[in-house]
Amino acid sequence: MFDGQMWDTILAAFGQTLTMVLWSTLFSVLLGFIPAVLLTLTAPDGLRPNKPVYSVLSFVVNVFRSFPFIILMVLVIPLTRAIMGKAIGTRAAIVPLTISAIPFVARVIESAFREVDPGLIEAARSFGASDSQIFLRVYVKEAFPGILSGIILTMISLVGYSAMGGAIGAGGLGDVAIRKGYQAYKIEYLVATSAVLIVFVQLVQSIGNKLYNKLS
Amino acid sequence: MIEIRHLGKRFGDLTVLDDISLTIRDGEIYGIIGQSGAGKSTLLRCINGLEQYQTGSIQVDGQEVSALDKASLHALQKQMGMIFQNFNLLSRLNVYDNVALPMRFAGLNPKSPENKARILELIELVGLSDKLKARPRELSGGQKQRVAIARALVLKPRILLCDEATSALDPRITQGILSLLTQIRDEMNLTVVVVTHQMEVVKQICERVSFLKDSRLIQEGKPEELFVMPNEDISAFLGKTEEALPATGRNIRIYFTDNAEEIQLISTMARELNVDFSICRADMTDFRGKVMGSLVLNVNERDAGRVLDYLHATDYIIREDG
Repeated sequence: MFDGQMWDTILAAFGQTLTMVLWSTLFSVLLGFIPAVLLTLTAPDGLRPNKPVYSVLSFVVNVFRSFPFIILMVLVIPLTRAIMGKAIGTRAAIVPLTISAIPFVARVIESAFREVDPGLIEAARSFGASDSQIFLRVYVKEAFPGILSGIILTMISLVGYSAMGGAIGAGGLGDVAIRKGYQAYKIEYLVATSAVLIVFVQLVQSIGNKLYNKLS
Repeated sequence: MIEIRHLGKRFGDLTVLDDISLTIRDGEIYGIIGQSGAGKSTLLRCINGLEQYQTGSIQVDGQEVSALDKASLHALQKQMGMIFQNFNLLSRLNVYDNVALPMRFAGLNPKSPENKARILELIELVGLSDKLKARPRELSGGQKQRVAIARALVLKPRILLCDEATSALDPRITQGILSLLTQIRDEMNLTVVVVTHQMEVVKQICERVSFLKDSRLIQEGKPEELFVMPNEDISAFLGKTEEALPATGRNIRIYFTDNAEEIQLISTMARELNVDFSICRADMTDFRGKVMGSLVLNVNERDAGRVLDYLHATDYIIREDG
């Protein structure tokens, strides 16, 4: 039952999953870093406390986080088309995946920054450091391992979201599991795709943990 | 010189500093003491501009701290090193890089031969030359504070501010840090301001102290002036309980505020006056190498007059206790 054809299908699907996950992780980290920095700076205990900016940004982030992914995917179709030239396929799925991950990234990076001991900020201030020096030399430096594990977390949750990509013809392991495994009732496809996903997630997580321990 | 005049600070409705005036002279080790919440750490933070104040004035070498623009404040802060209760070292930097950090903030290149020499010299001064590459988590509390001291000195400040710097350390380690602070003051001619609630810190290194209670400055002076004859507030701070003194006879307390070497005064007096008495209490403390304190004699009613006359003729401060 575990025939060669199935593995070809799964390998191709894994490639699609990888494409979606890696690109959307990259873009969402780049784009999510900005609101994370703004949230950190404008927080009540931040370097530049600013309640209106913080509240509005925090609200927007929450709104985007509460959107069900499957709905978001449909809502952003015009944007997807504008960016990618088409609304269907693996590459097209990168757009909604990125958009859904940005607020998530913003929160995990913000919380990594928040973990930085306020005593360190105070010490830096006491030596006459400017805000930008404090941000780069203390916040970013100290929070780096936390940011990294936040990125790993994002990547793993994107593996889950990418499974829904099938709805816009993006393929991927989730799509195979649903169409071949569930709808065509080929149990071996369900087992094999799940196994591949489990191994992949484990691998990503353990690499992430190793890096975290090495850096922190 | 740090001159504080009628300083007042509030957090919302809460007054944290109320009409504080004191002067810290160049080169002295000055203590700010009191219970937690008395406002002493806030006072220290006002001195280097980490906190703003609403009324009064703080002048550091003639510059009004609250009137400085950002650049001038940063420049002033570079002349004031600070160490903290929790050391506040960057966990991802090794000893060398932690000490070098203020140089980076100041726009100096920590890799230049001159600056490198300065960093290594300070690390040697605090006794950690064998730990250059160690991360803070590999160090003990005392070692971390030594790194923090080296870091605070790297920009050659003229003032060192210590915020409960030994409160997280055990007594033996505290001794080491205090000797180091005294040594640094002597060698670099620093002014050292120490915020603490630990009596041993005050006794061992402070030349003058201010006692703060409930946001107000209660008393200022030499530690021996405050602690040998403590007033009510300071007794409470010291945790002195009601003394058990004999109910019969007269209790006479003799203060040794200058030097207790001539404590044989008591036996001389006994011999000369041919009186008997008991010593009910003696409380001697070492202040920076000088022993001071007080002693309570219990004397028979009939001898009391002669004993008091004898004692009043000496330089010692005498009180009759109930």
